[in-house]
Amino acid sequence: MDHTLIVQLLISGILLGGIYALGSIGLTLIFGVMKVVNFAHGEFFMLGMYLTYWLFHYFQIDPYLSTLILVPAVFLIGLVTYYVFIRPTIGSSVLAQIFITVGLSTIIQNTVLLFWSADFRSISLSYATDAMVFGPFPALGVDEVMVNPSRLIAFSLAICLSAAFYLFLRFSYTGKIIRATSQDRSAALLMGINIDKIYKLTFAMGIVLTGLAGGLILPIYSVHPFVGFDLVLIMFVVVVLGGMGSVVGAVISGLIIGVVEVFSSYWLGQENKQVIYFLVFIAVLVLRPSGLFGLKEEEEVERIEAIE
Amino acid sequence: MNFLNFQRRTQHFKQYQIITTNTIKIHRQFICEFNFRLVLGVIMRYIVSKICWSGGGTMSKKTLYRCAAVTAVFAIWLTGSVLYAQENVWRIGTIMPLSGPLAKNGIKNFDGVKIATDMVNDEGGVLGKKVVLVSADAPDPQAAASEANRLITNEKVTAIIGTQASTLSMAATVVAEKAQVFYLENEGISAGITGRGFKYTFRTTFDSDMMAYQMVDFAAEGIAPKIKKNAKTLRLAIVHEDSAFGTATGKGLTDRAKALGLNVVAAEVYSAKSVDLSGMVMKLRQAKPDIILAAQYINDSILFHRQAKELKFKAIVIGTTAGQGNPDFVQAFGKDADGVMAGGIPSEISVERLQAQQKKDALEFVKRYKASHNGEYPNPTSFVGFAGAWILYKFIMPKAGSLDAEKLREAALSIDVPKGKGVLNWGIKFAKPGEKNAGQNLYASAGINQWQNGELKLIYPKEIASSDLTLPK
Repeated sequence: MDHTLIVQLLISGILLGGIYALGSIGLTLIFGVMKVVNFAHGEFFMLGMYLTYWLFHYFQIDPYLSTLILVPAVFLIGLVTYYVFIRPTIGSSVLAQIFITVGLSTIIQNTVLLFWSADFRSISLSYATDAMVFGPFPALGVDEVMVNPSRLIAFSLAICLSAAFYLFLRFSYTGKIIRATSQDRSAALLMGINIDKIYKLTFAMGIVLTGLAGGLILPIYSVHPFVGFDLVLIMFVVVVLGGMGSVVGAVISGLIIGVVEVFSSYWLGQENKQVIYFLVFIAVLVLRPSGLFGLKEEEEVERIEAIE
Repeated sequence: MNFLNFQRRTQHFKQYQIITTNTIKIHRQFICEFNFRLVLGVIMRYIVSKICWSGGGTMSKKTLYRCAAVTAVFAIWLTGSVLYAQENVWRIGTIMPLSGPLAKNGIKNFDGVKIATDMVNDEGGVLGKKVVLVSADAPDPQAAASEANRLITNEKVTAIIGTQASTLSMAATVVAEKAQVFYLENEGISAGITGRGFKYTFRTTFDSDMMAYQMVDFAAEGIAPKIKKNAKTLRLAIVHEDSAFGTATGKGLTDRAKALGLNVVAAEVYSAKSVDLSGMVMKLRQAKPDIILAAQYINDSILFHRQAKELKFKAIVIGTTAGQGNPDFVQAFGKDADGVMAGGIPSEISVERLQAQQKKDALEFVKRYKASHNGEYPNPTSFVGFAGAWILYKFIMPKAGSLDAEKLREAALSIDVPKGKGVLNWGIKFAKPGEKNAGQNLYASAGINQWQNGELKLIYPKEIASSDLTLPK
C-alpha cells in the first residue's frame, strides 16, 4: 500500500477528529456536571458560526481574532439561556429538559431563518484554507502530504482546551466544586456549595466552548440555519462513545471517529462510512456500556439513584 | 379588528349579490356546501335555543323567526368565502419549501411564481379573472404530502404549482394524482417525477436526463478537444449525492457516458449531509480524472471544492446549478470559482438574445425581480419558477378556460409551441400519456454555465450563449 496515501488519510482523519472533539467538549461538560442533555447544542454551534461570520462580513475581523469578541458574547447568551430556559427545569424530570432543549433548538433555528434567511454563508480566507505542504520524506517512503491550517488550529485547540479543562477540574478549587456537584448534588448542597452558581458557570462555559468551536470552523464550513443538524448527530456519537461527561473521552473518541470515517470512506465508499463508525460505536458500547472513559456502570447507577 | 371583520363581511355580501344574479353558474359543489352548512346551522341554532329555553316549554314564534333569520345570515356569511373562491378569481395552490433546509431555493422559486402572477394580474388576469395563489410550506416530503392534501381537501384547489426539490415533488405528486388534481412541476428535475406514468403531473422544466446528457456531451465535444483529448483518452469521474436529485442525475450521467463509450475512471456517491469528503477526494485524486461531472447541492459542493483545494487536487468540474451554479458558491470561493462549470438552468438566459415576446416577458420579469430584491439579478431558480407559472397562465389556462383538472390536462397535451416561442428559450410540448416520461415538456432545455470573473455566464447552447468556454488554468 502506498505510504503517502496512508499518511495523508491519517492526517485528514485526525484533523477531522479534532473538529469533532472541539465541538463535543461543551456538550459533554454540560451533561457531566448538570445531567442536562442539551439538544440545542447544534444551534449554539450555529450561533457561534453566525456571530463570527457577521463580524467578518461587516467589520472584516479575522475569525481567529474575533474569538475575543465571540467568547464574552456567547458567555452572555449562555447565561441568559440558563436563567430563562434551563434553571426552571433543574431538578424536574428528564423529559422536561428534553422538551425545553428540543424546543429551544427549533426556536433558534427558525428565528435565525427568519432574520438571516436560508443562504449558505461562508467566508473566503485563503491563508486558512490553502494547503500547507510537508515533505517529501524519502526515508519513510512518503511523498508530499497536505495539512490544512484552519483544521490544524481547530485540532490543536481541541487538545489544549481539553487538557486545560482536565487540569482545571482536577486541581483548581472551582474545578473541585464542580466535580463535587456532579458527583452528588444533594451532598454538595449540604456542604454549602452554591449549586445554582456552579450550574450557571458550567452551562455558560459549555456554551462558550460550543460557540467557540463554531467560530473556529467557519473558514472550513459554510453556515446556514440548519448547520447544527448536520454536525450534532456525530457529536452525540462522540460524546456517548467517549463516556458522557468525560472531556478527555470526547477528544479521544472524536479522533477515533474521525480516522475511522476517513479510512472507511476511502476504502468502502463515502456512502458506507456511517455503517463503519456506527459499528465501532455499537461494539464499544457492547463492551463498555458507559463509553470509553465513562464511569463504571455501578457508580453511574448509584449516582442516578442519588439524584432521584 | 371589528372593523376589518365588518369590511370582509360586506365584501362577501357584495360577492353574493353579484353571484345570485348569475345563478346558472353556481357550482354543484357550492350547492352541496351551502345546503350542508344551512342544515348544520339550523340544527345548531335549534339545539342552542332548546338549551336556552329549556325551562320555558315551547319556543315562541317570534324567537323561531329570529333563529331562522340569524341562521340564514350565518349561512350566507359562511358560504361567502366559497362563492368568492369559485367564481371571481383563479385559485392556484403552490407547494414550496419556504422553511427548512431547502428554503433557500424554495423561496427564490416562489418569488419567481409570485412575480409571474403579479405580471399576469397587472395585464388583467387570465381570461379577465385575477390569479390568487394559495401557498403552502413544505420543508420535507411528509409535509409536502400533507400540504398537498390540505390544499386539495380544505382549500379546494384543482391546480397546484410546485415544488422546487425532487424529493418533495415525488411525495406531493402522488397525493395530487390520487385526487385527480393538476400538478405542474416547475423545477424538480428527477426523471422519476414524470417517469411513473402519472396522468395529472406535468413538468415545465427539463428533467435530469436532459441535463445530464448535455453535461456529458459538452464534456466530450466541447471540452475534450480543447485539452487535446478524444473520446478514448478522456478520463471522466462522476460524483453525485444520494437523494432523488443526485441519484437521477448520476444515472443520466453514467448512461450517457456509457452510450458515448467514454472512460469513467471513478464513480462516487455520498450524502449531501456529510461533514467530511476527504476520503472521496483522495480516491478521486488517485483516479486522476480530466473532468469531474458532479450532481451536488450547494453546501456539499462548497465542502467538496474546499477539501479538493486542501488536498491540492485539481480537475475541470462540471457541476449543476443546484450546487456549483448557486450564487453562494462564488461567495465562498471568490476568484477561485472562476472556471467552474454548472449544467442545468441557463443563467441570465442571455435575455438579450431571446426573441420578441419572450424577450419582453423575461425583461419585465428581471425588472420586477430587481425592484423587489435590491437590484439583485434573478437566480436561475427564480427563472424556472417564473417560466413554470408563465406557461400555466399564458398557454395552458387560456386554452382550458377553467381550472378543472381534466380540462387543464387536455389543454396541456394539445399545446405545441416551438422552441423560442414559449417562455425563455423553451418551447412547450408535453409528452403524451403512454410515451416515455409522460407529462415532460420535451421542448425545455438545459444549458452549461461557467463562472467567469465572478459572474455566471452561459456558454452552451451556442444560440443563446453569452460567453465562450475558458479553460481553468
